[in-house]
Amino acid sequence: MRAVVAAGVLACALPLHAAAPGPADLLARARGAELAGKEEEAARDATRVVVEAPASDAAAGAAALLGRVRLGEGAFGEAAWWLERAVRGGARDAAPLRALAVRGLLRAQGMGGGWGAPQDVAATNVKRPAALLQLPSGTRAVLDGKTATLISFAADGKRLPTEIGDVQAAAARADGKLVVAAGEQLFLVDPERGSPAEPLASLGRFAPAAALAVDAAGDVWIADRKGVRLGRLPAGAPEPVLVVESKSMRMEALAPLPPGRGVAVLDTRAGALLSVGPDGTLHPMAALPWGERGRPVALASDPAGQLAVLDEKTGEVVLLDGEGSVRDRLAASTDREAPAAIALGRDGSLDLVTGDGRLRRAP
Amino acid sequence: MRRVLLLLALLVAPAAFAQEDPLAPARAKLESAAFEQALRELDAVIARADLAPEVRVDARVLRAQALVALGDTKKAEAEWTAILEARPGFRPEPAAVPAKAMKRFDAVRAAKVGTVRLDLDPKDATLAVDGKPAVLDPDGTLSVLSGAHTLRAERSGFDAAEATVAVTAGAAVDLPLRLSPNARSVLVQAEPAGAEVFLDGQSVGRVEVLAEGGAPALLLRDLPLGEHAFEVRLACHRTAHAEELLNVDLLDRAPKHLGPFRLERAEGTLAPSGLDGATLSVDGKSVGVLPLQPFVACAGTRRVEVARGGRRLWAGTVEVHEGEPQTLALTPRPTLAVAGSDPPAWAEAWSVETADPPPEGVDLLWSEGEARSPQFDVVVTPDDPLLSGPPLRGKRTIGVGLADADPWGTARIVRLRKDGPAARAGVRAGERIVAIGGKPVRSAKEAEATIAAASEGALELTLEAAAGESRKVSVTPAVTPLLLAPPPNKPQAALRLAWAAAEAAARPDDVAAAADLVLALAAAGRTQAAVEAWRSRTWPARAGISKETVAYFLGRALQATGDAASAGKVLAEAAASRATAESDDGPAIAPAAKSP
Repeated sequence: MRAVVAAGVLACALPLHAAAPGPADLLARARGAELAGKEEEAARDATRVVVEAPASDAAAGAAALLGRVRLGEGAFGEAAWWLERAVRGGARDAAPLRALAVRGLLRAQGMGGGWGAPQDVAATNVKRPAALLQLPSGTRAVLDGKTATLISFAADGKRLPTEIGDVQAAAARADGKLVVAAGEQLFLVDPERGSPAEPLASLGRFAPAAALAVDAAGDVWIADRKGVRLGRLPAGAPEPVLVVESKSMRMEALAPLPPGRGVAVLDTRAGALLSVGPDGTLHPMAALPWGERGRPVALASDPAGQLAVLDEKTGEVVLLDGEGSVRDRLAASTDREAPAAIALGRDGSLDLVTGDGRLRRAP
Repeated sequence: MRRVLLLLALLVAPAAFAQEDPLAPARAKLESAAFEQALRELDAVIARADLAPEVRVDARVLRAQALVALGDTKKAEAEWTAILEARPGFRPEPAAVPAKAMKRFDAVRAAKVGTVRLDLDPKDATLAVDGKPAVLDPDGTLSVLSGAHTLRAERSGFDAAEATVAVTAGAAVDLPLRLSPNARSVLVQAEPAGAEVFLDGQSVGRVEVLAEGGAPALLLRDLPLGEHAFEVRLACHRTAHAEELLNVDLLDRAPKHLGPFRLERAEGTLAPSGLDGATLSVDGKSVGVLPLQPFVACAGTRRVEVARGGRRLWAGTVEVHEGEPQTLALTPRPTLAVAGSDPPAWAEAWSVETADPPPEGVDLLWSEGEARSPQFDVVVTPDDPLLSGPPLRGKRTIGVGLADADPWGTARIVRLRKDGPAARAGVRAGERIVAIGGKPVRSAKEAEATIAAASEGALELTLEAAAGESRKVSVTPAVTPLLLAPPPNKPQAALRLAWAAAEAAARPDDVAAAADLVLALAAAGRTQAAVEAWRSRTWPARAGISKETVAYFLGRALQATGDAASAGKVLAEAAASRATAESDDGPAIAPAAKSP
């Protein structure tokens, strides 16, 4: 039989009838679908890259994409497996996500994976921390609510010379830049390079802004100061469009969700978490575990779609999965330890700024 | 008259070389008793200027005989005098010379020649008198002309000896001439017969039975004095070594005895695996058809070959260590024939032949810096990464996916195949593998490689669920088919095709090998051929790598040939399955099948 294969088929070499898309084409198509929130389509093309060209450069990117998609679905084990392939294939930036996936799996299996004890990273000297942001490089930016100043710190805790004033709210982008709301404008700033602020768009009726978030597609979400309006600024648009308006809500904090799912919104009036999709559809995500006893003030998310919520009254941070189940808790042992702002690292670590201005990290 | 006849009889014998002998005519005349004519012939010969001195002396001997036969003793005396000048040891044949004439000769000799009674040691030393080779007389003495002479004796294994002696005509003088030994012979005895003896690294012969009932031995004559290294080697036996200081024993000239060395057999065990159905041979001798139980092989470097149907599937040298069982994992290697140049370094991964012309079934030819596949008419550059080693074929699996994730530990089990060996053994997702078979593993990659290369039987995994809590689990790995990643470029695709053909020939029942061959066809652009090959056999229905995996690749090949309708059908079949790619633990094929 094998002889037939070897001898019979070699003689007839026919030209290709159709040019099949190459691995790079398929990966580009998959990335486009991912950004558009079409995760299933993205996963199909990415899997095809891995199946048909596992030794190609594109395969590592495809594995990373599949890891991200599975992370967003909460399939931590599968995500970790794909991200391991991605790292081995040369996609080094997949390593933090892999750690996030593994710790998510451990949490789900009841095998640990929780936050470790917080360690000091830097003394920010910020009197009233209003927001904390983490960039992919590990740089953190702390917004001082008292002075409306954004101060940045390198991953090792060293203070960067860049200081941005008159800031109402800020959000981190995947490319390492910050979107800041100042006056009636949105600006793009690079805290690591200190380049001049680049005007991005007008805030329009969302000025002054109370909270910002940048989702996986690069769209900027803006909550106004009263927390009754939520807008979205698609890439390249001159000003945000209204997505949600409700006087029964108080949208105080925003955090991006995995590709295609929009943003998570902290409604402090109802003490609940909601998700708002790109088309404006609103879904309840979870009731916060403190009920009426608590006062949630800050929200952060990771690439797996997990959300960390800070309660000002108890000084406790809880980690919730996309279904609203509590995955982890970090309680402040003293008032001095109580966080005032939080951020989640790509590997699932928790960054926080305490009321006395210390930047800390719970690995 | 009677005396004359006797002389004639003596002269007949040398007639055999008459044709080359300038004295032949004279001899003929002497034979026919024409002595005067013989004398004339001899005079003419002796007068020749080009005559060799020895022949001239021989001519004089014949002339003296003729003169004696004619009764002219006086002239004969003159000849004898001339002969003795050249040959002091000369004596006429007594039977051919009358007693009276012999007395005349003795008188002539006594006036000219003296005798040296040599006490020569060793007796077989060669002699020279005044620089010219000399031989002893039959009575053991040496005849020389009167006067002073220098005698020199030489023999291998001894220093030469020289002495000057004054000899008086008609008198005898005693002369001791003893040579000092400067070498020693050695008799090497070893068993069994046929063992090869090496002296200072050079082969000097083999031991043989020299005398009936005696031990096999080899006599090494006159070895230089000093330290020497002796080795006695025989295939499948331990080599015997000896360092020996050779010196002179004046009282004992006998060869020094070395040994007897009794060489013991040296053997190891070879345990081959793989290439079932093929015949394995060691050093050209067939051992049997695989699979084979572990068998005993001679220690040392052995040439092992595995062939099926006249086609060599594996060949290489194996170092067999004495007493140590050694596994021999056999995977087919393309045969590389080398012509015109030394094998390149990368050829170590291949089965190399240097035969000219190349043997049948050769997959690659290496000639003058270029590799060529005669089967597939491709040329492969030597820097092709595929040439650095054969691709991995088949592996063991326990049905887990592993990941490293600092600080959450390495080799964490993040994926667990349902009904896989690990799941059946109670392994849980989230645990991490800290050791395999008691040997710590430091990364997911290392753990996967250890499992993949595990031998048959159960593996003991040390698992850690949380820090400090460990347990041990016994898991018996299964073997998963393993599809090779398609080659990234055209030259590699051609080489892969050659490789896959060798694999498929070597493993006629291996589904993955068959699939690899068809994948290699598709990768080489032979999509129609791939379609036909996919369809030409029945692929197994099983979990993991299965007929739906094949359906996927068939679908893509059909798409490439433009048959969209058929492609859609088979891709739908793959899309509805739980089949995988790469291995049973590889990515699910279904999502890929849904990609347009």
